[in-house]
Formats: sequence, C-alpha cells, structure tokens
Amino acid sequence: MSEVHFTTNQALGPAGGIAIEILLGIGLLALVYYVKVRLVRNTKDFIIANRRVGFGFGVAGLISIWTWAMAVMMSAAQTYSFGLSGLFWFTVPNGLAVIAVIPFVRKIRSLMPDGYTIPEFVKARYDGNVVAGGVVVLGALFGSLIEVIINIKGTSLVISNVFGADPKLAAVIGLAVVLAYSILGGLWASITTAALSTLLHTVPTAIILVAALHYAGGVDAIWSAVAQQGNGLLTVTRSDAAVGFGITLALGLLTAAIAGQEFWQVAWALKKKDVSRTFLWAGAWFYPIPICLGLLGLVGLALHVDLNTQLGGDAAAIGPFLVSHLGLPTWLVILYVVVILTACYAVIDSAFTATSSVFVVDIIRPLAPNISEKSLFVWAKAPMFLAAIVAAGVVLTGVDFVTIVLTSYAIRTAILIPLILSIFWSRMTSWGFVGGTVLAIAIGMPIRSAAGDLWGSLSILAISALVPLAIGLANSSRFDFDRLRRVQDAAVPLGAQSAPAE
Amino acid sequence: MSDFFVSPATAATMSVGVVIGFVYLRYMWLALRRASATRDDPDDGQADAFAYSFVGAIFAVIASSLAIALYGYGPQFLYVGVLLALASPIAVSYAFYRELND
Repeated sequence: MSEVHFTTNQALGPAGGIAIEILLGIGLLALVYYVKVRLVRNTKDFIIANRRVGFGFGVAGLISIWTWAMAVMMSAAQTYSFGLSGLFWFTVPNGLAVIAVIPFVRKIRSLMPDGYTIPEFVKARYDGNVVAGGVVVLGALFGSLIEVIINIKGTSLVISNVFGADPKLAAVIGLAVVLAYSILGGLWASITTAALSTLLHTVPTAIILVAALHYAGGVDAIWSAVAQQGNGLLTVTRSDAAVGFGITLALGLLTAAIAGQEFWQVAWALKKKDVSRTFLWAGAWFYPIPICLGLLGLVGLALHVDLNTQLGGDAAAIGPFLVSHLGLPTWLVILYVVVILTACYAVIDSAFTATSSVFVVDIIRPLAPNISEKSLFVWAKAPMFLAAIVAAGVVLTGVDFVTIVLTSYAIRTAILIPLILSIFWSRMTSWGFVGGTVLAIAIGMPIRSAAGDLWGSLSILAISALVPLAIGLANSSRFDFDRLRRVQDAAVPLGAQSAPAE
Repeated sequence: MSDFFVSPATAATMSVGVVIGFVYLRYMWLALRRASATRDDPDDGQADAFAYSFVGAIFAVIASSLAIALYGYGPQFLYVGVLLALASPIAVSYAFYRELND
C-alpha cells in the first residue's frame, strides 16, 4: 500500500465551496417553489402536508431525514476506529431505530388520527396537564434546535475542511439556504427535498466508493492490508465496540426516533394505510448508506491514516480526508460534499418544520384559540427564523452548546418510557409521567456525569420506568383511549372543524 | 481510461447510476404530480393493515448484519456495499411506483 500518496486538490478554493452551497440551495428552492404552488395553501399543508404523503415520498423522505451528517461521516469513523465491529454497532441499531417506531406510530395514528405533535398527545392524554405538556414542549424544541446546530456545524466543517472556506460564512449560508425553502413549503418542502436527497445519498455514494477503492490500490490490496493488522478488524464480534459506543448509541438512537417530533410529524402526515410499511421500508433501505460509506473507514485503516497528524484527532474526518486527499477527480470530491450537504439540509429542514408544528399546535393555538387561518399561516414560519437565529448565534459566537445538548438529551431520554407507557398503558397517570420524567432527570443526570454515558442512560431509563409503573399500579382508574379520537384538528380554524372522528 | 471516469468499474457504476437516477427522478416526478392532482381528495379511509413489520424488521437486521460481516470474508465482498447503495434507490423507485398505482 506504500505507493498511495496523499495529495491536496488545488482546484478546490473557498469560493467553490460557498458556490456549491448556494447552487444546491437554488436547485432545492426550484423544486420547493413547484411544491409551494401546487401543494401548500394553508397551515395544515405547511405543518402536516394535509396528511397526504404517500408510500414513495414517505420512504424516500424518512431515509434522508434519518441520514444525518453523522450517518455519512460516523459510519466511516467507527469502522476506522473499531473495524467491522464499529460499522456493525453503528449501522444495525440505526436502521432498527426507524423500524422500532412502527408499533408506536401505528398505535398513535389509530388513537389520535388528527394529531400533530408529541406535546399535543401528552396534553390530550393527561387532560391538559401543564407540567407534562411543558416538559415535552421543551424537549421537542431543544431536540430540534440541537439537530439544527449539529448539522449546520457539519455543513461548515465539510465546506471549511475540503474548500478552506470560512466555517462561519459556510454555516450562515447553509442556514439561509435551508430557511429560504423551508419557509416556502414547510413539511412538503422537507419531504420532497429529502426524497431528492435520498437519491443523492445512494448513487453518488456508490460511484465515490468505487473510485476511492481504485485510488487506494484496489480491493485486494485494501482487504489484505487490513487483514494483516489482525486485531479483529475484519470481524463484527469485537466487544470493545459494543461497550465503547455501541450500546449507548443504540439507546440514544431509539430515544431520538421514538421521542423525536421529526418522526411523529411524518407519521401523522402519511396516508393512514401507509404508516407501517413506510417506516419498515425506510429503515431497511437506509442500511445501504452507512454500509457503503463505512468502507472509507477500512480504506483509512489500510492506508494507515494517522488519527492525530492527518485527522486532527477526530476520526469523523476520515471520510472527508480520504475523498479530498486520495487524488480523486474534482467532480467526485464535489459530489461527496453534495452528499454531506444534502444529509445536513434534510435534517435541518425537518427540524425547522418540527419547531413550526410545536409552535403552532402547542403554543399559539392554546394562547390564541380564535386566531385566523391567515395569521396562523404567517406565525407558523416564526419559529423557523428563531431556530435559525439561535443556531447561527451558537455557531458564530463559538459558544459552548453543551448545556443545550445535555438538556435535550436528558429530556428525550427521560420521556421515552413514560411516553411509551402513555400510548399503551391505560393506568398510566399524569403524576407518573411528570414524576418519572423529573426524577429521572434529577437523579440520572448526576449519575451520567459521574459514571459515564452508559450508566447514566440506563439510570434515566430505569427511574423513568419504575416511578410511573409504581404510581400506575397504585391507580385503580383506567384512561379511556377513545377520548383521544375526539381531539380536534389544531390547524383547522375553530369555525371550520368537522365532527370528531368516530 | 481518462481521469474523469477513473476506472472501468467506476465508469460502469456511473452508467448504472445514471439509469437508476433517471428512473428514480421520473417516478418521483410522477408521484409529485399525482400528489398535486389528488391534493383535495379525502383520505380513502383504509386502515393500516400491513402485517409484516415484525418479520420485515428481523429480515432487515439480519440482512444488514450479514452484509457487514461479508466484508470480512474476502476482497470481492467489499463491493457488496456498493451494490446495496445502488439497490436502495431502485427500492425507493418501486415505492414511488406503488404510490402511483395504489
């Protein structure tokens, strides 16, 4: 493998990186303009796509919404760090998390056919309990905000690393691009651009990988070089990958999927008959993306890429480093950047739409129940601006956003089991929900900071399960789930409400 | 082989990718037009009767695990990931096709 030399592509300048961001944005904006004209006329279209998303758009949209910059870069990073065991523990729970949502979204669509958000469900389930609803609203908003920040940082990192552009400028332009098309089309914009992105995550990935394998010396040389290093790099059974990150990641992914408004809004936007099969297909056909991109990690191992001197100590840089230093033609490097940008954009626009749904349904509607449809439609865009401004502020000032990450993580993990119990267990009470969530955060977070991610997550999950179970078992009354069917459609003006679903 | 096409395998992947991309975009476009045309139609009221979620989940997990494990069995298996990455948009195109014909 010694004949492979790393070179920097001189054709890639800062202006090129910014131009790619803008051109990609213009392309997506053109698609969304068509969508806006043909499909988006009111608030219901904007935040829930009028519940008219079909099987194809559902599958394509979900794949891309789930393909964070993380899935693109971390699949290679974990392979580079742990060999195939790293790829296994990164990939398998990722797709499974999407599929694991099926029983919940299926149940929720049948219980509450006119729903929009997790907080709306929680409030309806617990007779408008302000604390329960408030905790979940905070979790949803912080969770979406964190997704915007992480993915805009991904955008700026790849543009600055590959093209040498100013990362702050790259972040601001990325945010402006996504904001522009998101305020135009809402959830329809998110779903259709994500569907296009799914194509860009797959075919270009295959082409880039075949070229990278060629430039790295061919499959025989790569495989032999990794095999010679031993250390179980070509097996999926290394336990250090499971303990090092696999189990914690699996729990985090399940939490992000089951307690994430981004998935629930798609579940409520899909045509009723398509919900289960859409989530199954999306989870199953998401798998090829990290499986294919993970190969870059094996290439890194084969070429003995140095973590500290060549990757700046960050294994996530292995993919961008190889693609921009193996000597690949410029157009392939640009294609790789487009893959990462579209992954970031798809998550950001989905998070923007999630903030919009929560704002409209759980904040504006309760505060101004008689608001006109026209005003509601205008206000639906406000939280997108706000989320973009906060995210830009975090990136531009370089402020440490660990607090936001921890808050988001704590709330989402803590509400996971209470949320599941709320959907399936009629004896679950509002006290159980609030007590389980608050105690899990209060006790579990200190354990997490003292004993690490794994024990912290397990503690939060255990406390958030035991408290509501204990309170629920002591409660003799049962919740009548049929009451949820009578929840009125929050995006339809009060005067235009039809009779509740039977 | 010019630098642009990199290698015969890359050129072949590009050719297949272009065909897949064309089919994908065509069905996506048709599905988008249908969504636009049926925007105001009421929901057909059919319940979610899909009964293969559990079996499908097990199959997907086993298949993905096998695909990753195969990388370790020989150099030629490194192309499995590439083939799957090309299969994914074909499957999604089929989902668009089903959406058009449901």
